Formats: sequence, C-alpha cells, structure tokens
Amino acid sequence: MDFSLTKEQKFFKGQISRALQRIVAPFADAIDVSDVFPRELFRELGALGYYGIRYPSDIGGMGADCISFTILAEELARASIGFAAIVTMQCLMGTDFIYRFGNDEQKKKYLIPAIKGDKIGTIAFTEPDCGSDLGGIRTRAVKNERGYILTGRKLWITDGDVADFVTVAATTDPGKRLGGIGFFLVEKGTPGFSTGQKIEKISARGAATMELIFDECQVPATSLMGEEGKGAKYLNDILSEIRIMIAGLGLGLAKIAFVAGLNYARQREAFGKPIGKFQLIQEKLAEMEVRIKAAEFLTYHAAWLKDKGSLTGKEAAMAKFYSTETACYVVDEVSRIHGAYGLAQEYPAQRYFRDGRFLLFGGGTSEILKTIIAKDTMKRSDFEIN
Amino acid sequence: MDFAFTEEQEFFKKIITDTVDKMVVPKAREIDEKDEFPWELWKDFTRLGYLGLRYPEEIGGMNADPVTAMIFYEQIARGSVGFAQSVIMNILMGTYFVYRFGSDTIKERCLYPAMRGEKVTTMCFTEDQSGSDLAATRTTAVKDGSEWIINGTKMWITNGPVADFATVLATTDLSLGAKGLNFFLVEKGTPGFSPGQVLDKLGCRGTVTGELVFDDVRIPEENLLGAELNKGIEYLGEILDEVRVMTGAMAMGIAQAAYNEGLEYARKRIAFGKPIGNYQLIRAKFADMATEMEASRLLIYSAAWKMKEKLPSRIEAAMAKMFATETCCKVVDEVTRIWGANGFANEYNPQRHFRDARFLLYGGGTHEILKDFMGRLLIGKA
Repeated sequence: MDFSLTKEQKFFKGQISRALQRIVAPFADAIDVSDVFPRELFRELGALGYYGIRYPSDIGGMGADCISFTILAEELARASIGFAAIVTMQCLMGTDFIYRFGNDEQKKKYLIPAIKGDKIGTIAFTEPDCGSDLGGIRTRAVKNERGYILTGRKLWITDGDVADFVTVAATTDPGKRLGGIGFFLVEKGTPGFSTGQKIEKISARGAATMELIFDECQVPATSLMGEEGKGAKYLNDILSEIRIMIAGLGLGLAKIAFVAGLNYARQREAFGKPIGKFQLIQEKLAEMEVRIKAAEFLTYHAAWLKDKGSLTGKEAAMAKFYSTETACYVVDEVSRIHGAYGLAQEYPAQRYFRDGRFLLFGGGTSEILKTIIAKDTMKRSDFEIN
Repeated sequence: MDFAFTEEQEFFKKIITDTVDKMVVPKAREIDEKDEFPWELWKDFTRLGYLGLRYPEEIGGMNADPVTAMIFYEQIARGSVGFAQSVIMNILMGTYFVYRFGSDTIKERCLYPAMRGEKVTTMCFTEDQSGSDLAATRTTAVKDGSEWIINGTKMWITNGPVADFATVLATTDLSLGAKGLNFFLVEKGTPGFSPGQVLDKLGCRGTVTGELVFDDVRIPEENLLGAELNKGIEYLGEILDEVRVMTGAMAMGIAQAAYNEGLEYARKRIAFGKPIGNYQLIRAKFADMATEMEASRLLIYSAAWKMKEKLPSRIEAAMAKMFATETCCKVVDEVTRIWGANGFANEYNPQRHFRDARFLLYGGGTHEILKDFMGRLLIGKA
C-alpha cells in the first residue's frame, strides 16, 4: 500500500494551490458579496490551461488523472466555492458531452475555446419539479425534419446567465422515463432559448444559478449528443466522477474552515487563556481533524479506483456523502468556535457555513446516496477492503 | 402531575398565535432582507401592550407568569426572530434592572415609555474580547463626586444603534473580576455616549446589532442600577434562568416555523413518482424532529413552571436553552435537506430559518460554556 501522492501529483498540487491562493482567494469575499460571474478571474485561470485538466493534450488539455482533478477541486474550494462551482462545471459537466459525442466542428467551436477559457459551458438537468429523480424530466425534444424542437424549463442552472452553450437533458419519450432522455447542445442566441429568473441563494454565490426557458427552440439534428434515449447512460458514465469531484470540494471547504477555526481558537481568550486550551474546544478540533482525514481517504481512494479502472458507484457515493457531510459538520463547529463572530460578515466563517449547503444536493442528496450505498451493501455477502 | 396549560394560558396562546400570524409572519421576509429596525411593525405591535408582559398590572403590565411569557417568546420568534429579539429586549433584559432598581423618576422617564413601545431599550454585556466570560469586562465605572464616569466599548448590542437607553455592565475595579461588576443606566443624548459600527450579520436580521461607545460618559449617582455596589452578577442571576429559557423558547418558535415548511414540502414534492414524504429516510427526519421538539418544549415549560413556583431552576434552565437551541439547529438543517437545493434559495423561508437559528447558540452562554457550567454544578467540587 502507498497512500502518498506521486511526484507529479505533488508538484501539481503545489502549483495549483499557489495559483489559486494568489489569483482567486483574495477575491473570495467580493465574489460572494457581489454574486456576479468573475469574468476576469475566469479568463486568468483559463490562460493557465486548467479547464482542460481531464482532456488529452492534443486538444489543449492536460491529460491528468482523476486524483489530480480531485486535487484541483479541493484547492478550488479552499479559494472560493462560488468560483469552484464555475470551474468544475467548465472542466467536467459543461464540456464532457461535446468531448465525447461532438463532431469536429462542434469541438472546434465550443470545446477548444472552452478549454482556453474563451467560452463558458454548462449543463442543464434540473427542472422545477425534478432534481435527483432524473427520470421525471419533462423538457421535451420532438424530432422534425430540421432536427429537434426543445420545449421546457430548467432550473438551478449554474452559469445560466453567462454560458455560451448548454448541454440540455430532454426526453424524446416521457413514457420511458430514464430511457427517453437525450442530451442536446444548445448555443446561446438560438431562437426560443432564453434565460428566466435568477435564483438568489445563500451558497456558492458568484456562480449564478438561473432558470433556462426553451420555447419551441429549434436545434439541428447534430445537436443530439450521442443517441436518443441513451442520455441517462451517458450521464452515468461520468456520475461517479462528478461525485468524487464534489467530495473534493467538500474536502477543500472543510480544510479551509478548519484552519480558520484553529486560528481563532489559538488567538481568542476567555477566562484568561486561549479558548483552544479548553477541553470542549479541543474536542471539536480533534473530532474535525479525524473526520477530515477520513473524508480525505474516502475521496482519494475513490479517485484512485477511478484511475485504476475499478471504481464502482458505491465508493464514489460514499466519498461524496461523507466528505460533504464532514464539510457541513466542520463549518458548523467552526462557526461555534467563533461564537457570535461566526455570524459577522467580516469573518469568513459565515461564508463557509453558508457554502457548505451547496455541496449537499448536486450529484445526489445524502439521502439518495445512502440508499445507493445500502442497495449495494444488501447484495454483498462479504465485507472486504478492496 | 399536570402537563396542560391553564385555560388562561391556552387563551393567551391562541391570541398571540393569531396576532403573530396576522402581523408578523407576512413581514418576516422583508425584515430579513432589509435588515433595518422595522419601525412601522414596532409601532403597530407594541400598541397591543405586550412589552409590559412580565410587569405588574398597576404599572401597565400584563403580569404574565413565566410559562405564559415562554408561550409569547415562542410565538413571536415563530413569526420573525429578527423582530422577536427587539421586542424581547424591551420586555426582559433591557428593562429589568430599571424596573427593579430605578428611582420613580427613572421609571417615569424610561421604564413606562419602554413598556408602551415609545422607547427602545438595550442591555450591554458583550465587549470585543469578552462574551460569555463576563469577568473579563473592561468597561469601567469610576465615581467622581455624585457622578459615575463610564468608559469602554460594547459589542453585539441588540437594538444598540436605535436604543433610547441602555443598561450597561461595567466594573468599578478591574482587579475584582466578576465581583466588581455593576449595571448602569445610560440614556441617549448623554455626552460621550454614541453608537459605533453596525454589524452586518448572517441571521436575526432586522434586529439591528452594533457597537456602543462610552467615552467619559457622566451619569448621576442614581443611575447605578443596584441596591448595593458590586452586586451586579448577583442581580443578573435573578433573570439569568429566564433569559436562558426564553432563548430556548425562541428556538422552538424558529423550529416550528421551519418544521411546518418541511411538512408542506414533503407532502407536495414528488420524486420517483411519489411524494418524498412517502420515503422512509424523509419520514425518519420528521420522527426525529418531532420527538426532539417535544422534548425541548417539556424542558422549556417545566423550567418555566419551576421559575413560576420559585423552585431552583439553574440547571434546568441551562438544559432547556441548550437542548432546545440544538434541536432548532438540527431541525432547520433537516428542513433545508428536505427542500433540496430549494432549501438555499432566498425565495423560500428555509434558508432564513437556517441562518436565524445560529443566533440563538451564543446569547445566554455558548453551549460549550453551559456544558461546563452544568457539569460543575452536577459534579460538585471534585
């Protein structure tokens, strides 16, 4: 067994950590307060090539493994969750369908510029009445001689206000539920495609979440990514990767919040000594550190399995569930350590506390992940560490 | 044993519940968003006389017993905890020492107008470097002839930026720690007394919270609120239990508001073809929430009953505050989970409850300090 990062992974971690602490972290508060897409920062980071982290070098990517991608997610979350939501969307969900199923022209027009940070991509699954239950999608794709006509409403779409292109889940046959879903590439400006309300939210501010409206939006036949009815399967191919990435975000948030709590515990005095000298505060620090460490192992273990090609959905679900719950636990405890200052806007503890919630829902709620884990557990006859 | 409210308490509960539903609930979101003292609502609501809730009828109060007071605190917080904080400050901490020790002229000038809502009050314990640790108070009071001179800065003062008068904790001797503390009345307009920065905070918005600065503030001798010098901590002990149980009652108000939202959503939101309330993992959340809320209320109302009967209630009050507030934090957490991503959309209430609950963790003592305090009383001198 070997739990250490390779030399390359360590080098990468040092590099990305420095870049994000320099470029993004100083603006974390401003991003949160303004809730506006940080275009300049987005371009600046794009110039460094990170948006192509998962893609091969021949199209401008870095060809990195899942462990490195997880490192990126973790470091992003340490800098700003809002910005992390934007970047991970660009690296993974927002571009992956074009990478896998787009034709050369589409790749040239959308994927390559997206990797450089010149275009912004997003994905649209969620609707007002369906989230984790993907089979409940109501947005329709009706085939005609010119391609497909899309009609429906999407909600909670990250970067919906600024995205240049969107990969949209729609059904060609609602009766088939999951078996009717396909993904369609829709460009900004396509007639019938517009943005609706912006969702004002407490978490991951800066990554604006929007309503998208498709009103008899005609798209060409080539906009279908892959085949009709296979969308759920395609999504499933990257679902575990999405979950590991979110686990990485949880880990980063937990660590940065933990450091804030630790510093406060060392410096704040009560009853004549730093509060970190009291056992009840020490208990919090110990509990947090152990859980963060456990989350780190689950997360990187899942990433390692993914790189080996032997990941199952269960490990990714465990990593996402445990790491995001740990993040929420840590931000709660850190806000308690800060006392009333945990509520004051001038300290980041309140931002961490709000941001933690963002991680609980995307990629499957904890409740759904638990049922996935348990379903697999029920099938097993042994319990061996793999 | 009898766990039921009296007929009067039931009647009071119904009236205040209706009043809060009509007057406060519809304003809650606006209060939170604006984060300004809601003057209009204040005027409408205080006209009903609730600010004299705890005080005798002969001075215009309602003479409510502690159980009835808890009913009130719970209901008003269910409407808007931001507004509740301001109201309760006038009812309890902001006026108690004036009521207890103020001269007739002070009562005439401060207490009665405060009971009518014509004056806004506050209580100043906390400083930048001292919160639950009151002995570390650094605001000083120095006697100069027939006057006291107050110097120091107070932080996290509820209603601070708008208060007409303040009860200020200050020490006459820094070396005495908790044994040098006293309460002083300082009125708006007294030279040297001024509001400082206003805090921008996560929860309980609408209660304006801020810094108060005392720079050589001279007040007359009679503004010392206490029968004897340096007995401030003892006097504080007279309302400490009530303050703690009150915080627990407010927590139940928030928890109930959040629980109701969760219930509505679980019944109506469909996933995988049925309402999410049909799934065991969601049902379990309601079972846990309801059990812990029931337990919280029993702790709150039994502690209040002990106070009413003048029985010792120090540990019970700390238990009620801690358990109810923790339950509240858990309920608001679970309700945002039930709501999924909609739980953090500003358009809906769960995110507000989620933020508001945090405010109750600190006032009346953090739970870390309460646990230590209770443990010490329970174990005794080891």
